Amino acid sequence: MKHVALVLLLMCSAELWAQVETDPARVPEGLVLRVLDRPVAEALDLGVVVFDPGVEADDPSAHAAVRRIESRLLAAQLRDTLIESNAWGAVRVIPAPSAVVAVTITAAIEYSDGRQLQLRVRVEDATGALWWQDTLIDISTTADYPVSVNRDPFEDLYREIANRTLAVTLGYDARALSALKTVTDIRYAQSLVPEAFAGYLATLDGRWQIQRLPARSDPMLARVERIRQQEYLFVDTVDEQFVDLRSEVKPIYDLWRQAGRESADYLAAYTVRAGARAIDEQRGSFASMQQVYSTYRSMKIQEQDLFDIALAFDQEVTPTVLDTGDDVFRFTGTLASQYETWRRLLRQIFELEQGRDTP
Amino acid sequence: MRLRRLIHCGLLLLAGTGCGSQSGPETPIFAPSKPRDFTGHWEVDYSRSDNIQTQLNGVVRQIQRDIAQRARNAERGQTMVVGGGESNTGRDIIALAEMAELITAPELLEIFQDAREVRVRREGSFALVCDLTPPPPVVTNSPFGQEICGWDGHQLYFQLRFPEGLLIEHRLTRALTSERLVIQTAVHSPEVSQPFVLHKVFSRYDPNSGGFHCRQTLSRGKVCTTERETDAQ
Repeated sequence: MKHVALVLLLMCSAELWAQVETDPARVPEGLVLRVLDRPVAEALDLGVVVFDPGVEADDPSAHAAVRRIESRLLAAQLRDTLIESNAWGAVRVIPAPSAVVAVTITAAIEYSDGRQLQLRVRVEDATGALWWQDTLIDISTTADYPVSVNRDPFEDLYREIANRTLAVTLGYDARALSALKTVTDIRYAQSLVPEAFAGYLATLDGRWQIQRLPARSDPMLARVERIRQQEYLFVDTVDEQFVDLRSEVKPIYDLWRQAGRESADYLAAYTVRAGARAIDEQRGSFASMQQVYSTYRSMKIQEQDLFDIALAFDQEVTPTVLDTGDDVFRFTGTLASQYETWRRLLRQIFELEQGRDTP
Repeated sequence: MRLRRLIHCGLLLLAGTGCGSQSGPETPIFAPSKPRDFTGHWEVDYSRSDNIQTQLNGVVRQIQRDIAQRARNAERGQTMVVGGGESNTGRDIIALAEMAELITAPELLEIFQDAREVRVRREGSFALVCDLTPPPPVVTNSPFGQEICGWDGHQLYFQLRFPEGLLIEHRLTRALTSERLVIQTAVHSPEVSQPFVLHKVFSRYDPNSGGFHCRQTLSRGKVCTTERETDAQ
């Protein structure tokens, strides 16, 4: 996209960085993804929360269904870019914010069509520290279409998110990264058994800091880790749904975005021609009427194809089946509510185990 | 285009007349809705549908009558009412007829209908979709056009307005006692004083009766099978 080649960069090549403008007219072209030769020393697990679609969960319209689909497709696209940067530990798309990961990226779709993508992005870590937040805009070009396999018209935007997030990490030394991982572990444990892990952390200026550490031999920590793995199991199962979703929806979604881009180009050209009064000379001719009608027809066909498939794949009807080895669980409802149900179940399992182990 | 070969040479006589009486319909007023059920598959019945050449001749005759009437009025000293700038040239009328042919080209319809929505899928074109939740007219705007729709009595009405004055009206009617559906399509151009109106009659059909049925898929395009839909489920 935009004359960008994927370049292997070492950590010190900060001069190649570009800033994303919030003014659409000044959006830079061709952001380079920083790719490390290996993950940072204390590789942090990173969670990309399914994007906020900006529509009501119970909105039955096709437009809302498309936004909800986009909220997962775009999150998965960002996840892939972050993995490509080779800077992180496990990078997962998670249905809702969770203490299970050290760094959380949340984003809201403010605008999305084939021409422009605008996201409000927020990145914070498990201590509560805000790494950065911004509204990012990327404008596609006609060269971005048709969309090639494994490419995206808005790669620049994902690269910017990856680069900015990596930049913060690179400001942490090994000791700070280790502390962050410890805080993550304790906060996750607190989310399961607050009373057992109270006192290990304290907040200072809105950030969690370590007060003391649990004993490494504490059997409760082993149980917490088991539960954490079960939470990962859910996330990874849902991730497989994303893969299926993308293989089914992405081709038609790309065509829809391409039609949107072409329509925007047509509209801009039309406005110019109308301004120059060139249109008036042909007014009423078959060619001019056919052009406006065909443009509309093309746009509507792509839109309706996408709407059909978006409604079919809308998350409201996608159950999640989880095989834990011992049992099979089936969840229905929205993805966020499925996730919450599973986490509540995990807490109950943990409490039951604790009850058996603790006389 | 097929229509090109059918054009009557007499159309050229209309060139340069330069006046007309109307340009597009008024904003529709919707009668209280009496919805009919259009659900199902429909195929065009050419034997009962309008012939485009016949309609074209009719439009030409009507415009000729209008012109003659105005000329007589002018001779009698009556004020000539100038319309919205229509030229009514043969070229413009042919263009309108060609557009009507293009717009009414779909031969197969699949209609889904419930209390919330009517969706008229047209083979090879976009679906006409009307949200029935709010009272008519339901207006949908986009940079490329405006759609207005709603039940107008027992008829389902769609109006599509495009840049440069192109305006299309579809009116769907189904008699209670008949398994036929009629779509009246009127195409308006700012350059022609008369709309070009075509009636297409559709008969209900069973998509499985041919021994096979087809569906559009993402990965393999149009896929046809002899398996009955009920068997496949």
